[in-house]
Amino acid sequence: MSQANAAPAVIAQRRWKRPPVLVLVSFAAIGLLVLIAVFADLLAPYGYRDQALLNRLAAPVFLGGSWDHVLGTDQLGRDLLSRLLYAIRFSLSIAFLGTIIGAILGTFLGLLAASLRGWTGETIMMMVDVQASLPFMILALAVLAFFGNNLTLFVLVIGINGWEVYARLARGAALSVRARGYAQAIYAFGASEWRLYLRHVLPNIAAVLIVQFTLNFPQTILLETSLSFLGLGVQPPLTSLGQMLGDGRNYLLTAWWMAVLPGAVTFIATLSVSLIGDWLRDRLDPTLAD
Amino acid sequence: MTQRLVTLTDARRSFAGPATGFLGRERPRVQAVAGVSLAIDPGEALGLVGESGCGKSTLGRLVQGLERPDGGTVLVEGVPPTADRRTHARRVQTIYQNPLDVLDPRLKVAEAVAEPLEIHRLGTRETRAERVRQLLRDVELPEDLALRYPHELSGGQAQRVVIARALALEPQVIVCDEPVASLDAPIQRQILRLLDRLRRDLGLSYLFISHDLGAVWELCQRVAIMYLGRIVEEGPKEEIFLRPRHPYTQALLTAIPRPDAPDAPRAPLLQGEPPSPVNAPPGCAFHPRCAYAQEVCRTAAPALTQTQPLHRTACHFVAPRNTTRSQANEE
Repeated sequence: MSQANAAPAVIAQRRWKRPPVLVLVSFAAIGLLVLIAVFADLLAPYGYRDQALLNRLAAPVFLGGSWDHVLGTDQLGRDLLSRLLYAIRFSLSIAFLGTIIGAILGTFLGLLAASLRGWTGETIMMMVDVQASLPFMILALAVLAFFGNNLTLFVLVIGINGWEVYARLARGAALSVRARGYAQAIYAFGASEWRLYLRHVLPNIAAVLIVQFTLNFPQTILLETSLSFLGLGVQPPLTSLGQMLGDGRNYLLTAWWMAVLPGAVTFIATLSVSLIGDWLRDRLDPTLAD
Repeated sequence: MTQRLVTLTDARRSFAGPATGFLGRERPRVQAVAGVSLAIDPGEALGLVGESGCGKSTLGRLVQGLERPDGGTVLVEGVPPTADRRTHARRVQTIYQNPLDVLDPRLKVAEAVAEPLEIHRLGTRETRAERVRQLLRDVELPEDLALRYPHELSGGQAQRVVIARALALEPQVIVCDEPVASLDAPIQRQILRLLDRLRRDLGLSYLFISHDLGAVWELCQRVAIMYLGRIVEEGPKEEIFLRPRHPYTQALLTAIPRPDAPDAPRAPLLQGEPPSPVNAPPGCAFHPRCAYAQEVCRTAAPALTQTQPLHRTACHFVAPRNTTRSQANEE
């Protein structure tokens, strides 16, 4: 009898399955980071470029420092908390913009390759293979070293990273949707390719692309961090997580928190987005859905 | 006679078959439609019956304009279907075997039905909405279904949505590709009645492709029996059902269960599968399975000849011998 009562409850549970705790925590972490990024200038007690050379490498509060600089100061006496808040703003914005650029470019080229199956499509897919076989980090280094560094170029370079994954995914998914009965029926109504792809194919492959976006986002954060760490990314006096990490590297023995704090934030951000991405993939995959 | 709406004259369509021969270089052509002449009149439902793989769906695709004939002609109102995709869509529409498969899962019913109107930029937003309501009434769907998604519909409801969508452009011809095969028996009858009423109300013509003889009997006025790419018998449905002349038609009718008359005289049941169209047998394609086959059947293909007024049959032993042509002459 208890089983008979349990059955509807199980069904209801399946339909409104609460995300696992870890995913909820991830959502909270990302929400917090976004809030910090948006309100960095309100939250930061000091400007990120305000130096106080007499108060360099001060320890954070939890290591006996003063409450004037909660997380201590860096080698130029700049407040680490303020720099960290601004770094979150810059790094997240750059990673977000970069991922968006890659997603739009890749999706567009992928759909184009799916609709033009002749030599245009072949060329696009060849570019995808070339991109996939290039060590992108080296290429990014070369481009940034050669053309000099500015923020726009940096964001573009980061955006170009990862487009090939979207292109492949979008093309494959679009071809499979295109072969479905409803796409053919719509085509038989005399719809243009544009309409078919924008109104019918794209919405039906969006789930795949959204998941890819969340999986790609951490990689982009890491790429930004690595390039900034190497000194080819965000340039001083601007700050970013990677740049702070790079600065902190020189003081690991005397002021380890300078490197560990931005490192920890990077870790939390990438892990949270990855967890959300994994969960989303399971949720949006119709073969795994109930 | 009035102007015929759809005319096929010796229409042919072949496809590259599976690769054979040394290094797979040879790809024999498979004749899916091997010279079909048929016509459909305005307001007429023509049933096209045959086993799986006999080419009846390819024939439907020729009329839809999704395939180009590589021999003979296909004309709808005197125009080849492949001439202009957009204007053809307003003459010929299709309803399909699996309605849920041909509805975009992310469009609500009202959006799906409005889609052809938007594609052809007919009317304003308001007149389109009114037209959608009208179409849903025409197919007897309750109005509150308009905001549902396809996966919330039953098979019969989804098929009504597909029919409403097909009617949106006011076509003269609807190709019905097994439209009731995936539905439950009572729903099948409802859909068939609906199609019959729509035909009479709107003066539609149907090319009703089916292997379900019962559905054909219910809906159609004329029936064509297809075997391996050819029409073997064609005529008014009473002629075909009550006085079948071709052994294949007789065998097909035998396959219908008759609980009312278990002792009725019956033709022998068909043995085995139809031969593969990759290597169709010479002569009459049906001869390997025909109980009456003679030497002539193995060498010469019988032409489709008039055996009764309005009734045509392709069989050596029904048609007068002198009208047969060898396959070589025909090619």
